Amino acid sequence: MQAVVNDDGIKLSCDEPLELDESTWRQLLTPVGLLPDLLESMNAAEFSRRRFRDIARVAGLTQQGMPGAKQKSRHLQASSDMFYDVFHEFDPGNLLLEQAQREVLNEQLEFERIQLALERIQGQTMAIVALEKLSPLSFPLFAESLRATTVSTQTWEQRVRRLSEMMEQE
Amino acid sequence: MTVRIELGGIVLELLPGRVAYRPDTATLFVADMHLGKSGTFRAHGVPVPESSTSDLQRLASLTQTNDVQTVVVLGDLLHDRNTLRGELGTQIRKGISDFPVPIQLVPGNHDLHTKDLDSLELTIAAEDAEVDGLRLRHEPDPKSTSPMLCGHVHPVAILGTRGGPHLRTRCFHIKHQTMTLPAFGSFTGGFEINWNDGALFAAGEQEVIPLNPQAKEMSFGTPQDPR
Repeated sequence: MQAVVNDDGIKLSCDEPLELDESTWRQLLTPVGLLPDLLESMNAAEFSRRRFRDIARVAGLTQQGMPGAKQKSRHLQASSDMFYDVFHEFDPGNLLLEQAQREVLNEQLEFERIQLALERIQGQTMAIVALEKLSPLSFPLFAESLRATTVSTQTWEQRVRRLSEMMEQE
Repeated sequence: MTVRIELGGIVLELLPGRVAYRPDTATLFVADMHLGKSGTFRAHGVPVPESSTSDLQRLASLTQTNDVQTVVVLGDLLHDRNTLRGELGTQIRKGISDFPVPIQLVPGNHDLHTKDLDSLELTIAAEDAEVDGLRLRHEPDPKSTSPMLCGHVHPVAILGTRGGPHLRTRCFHIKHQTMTLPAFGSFTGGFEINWNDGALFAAGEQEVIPLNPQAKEMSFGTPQDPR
């Protein structure tokens, strides 16, 4: 399952259709057990991987350059994903990785705001609408998902098999 | 799981860990290790941890788990012209001297720039030669009609659709009679191969998985008895 989040919403995409009724939504959006859930989800590397993009840029690992400007030192280009992987494997205590994690907890997850929002949701009415096409607010989520990497509970082998079967059916 | 394929009548095994094995000559093929790439980045002020020496160890351990007499590197063993200078160069040189089996290097574009390449304890093979029925070179030759192994491209496959669940994986790529090996080095990028452009095999650490119908058709059975 892939999850993408921005200020307006959450996008979950999964391989099998997921039917969620109101009571399931209410259960999912409960403030109970929020902190342990959050701490556990920190292990899903995607948050810090995404945060790492900005950090890598500020640290000068990746060069953005100005639009149209001539690329210098093209032989030193590598994506922040590549840096993240190689740091993760060969230098797990790296300060930049730690910073990514810390920033995720303090700045991105904003525990108190999440809790307030979840409590507010408990008292609100819920509308479940199946959309025919992308709505204006959902478009940024769709666009964001183009660059996100999947967070998955399956092994690499399981995912490769499943996705290659999917490709064949198309 | 290992995948077996046939290239011009020669049986090859695609092994987990991004290498290919030829049983009848006990040769292990590997491409694009780019040793010293992270050192190049560091020399230019980009702090990247070192992965070259552990890549060499990983290759060495692959020669131990399989019956390997020779390792053939299909080019780009080294990344930078100055890789062999300095402390890291000494370590790489030592890693190659201590390597459990003889190494043959089919020089690639990066190797040809490297200074002191002949100081390495390995055999430098021809840039393009036929060895026991297989043509070996670094860059693919699109006009080739004989069975060929090469590297250079760093092939990757994208599974699934962007926007939905998807996964990018290094792969073996076979088209016509040419097999391009995935890049072995840890710190290397990749070039995306189209889904229907020949046979694609995902190159994992534990398994090699035939991806598209062309690949499934080509692969015949896993060797049942462990060597």
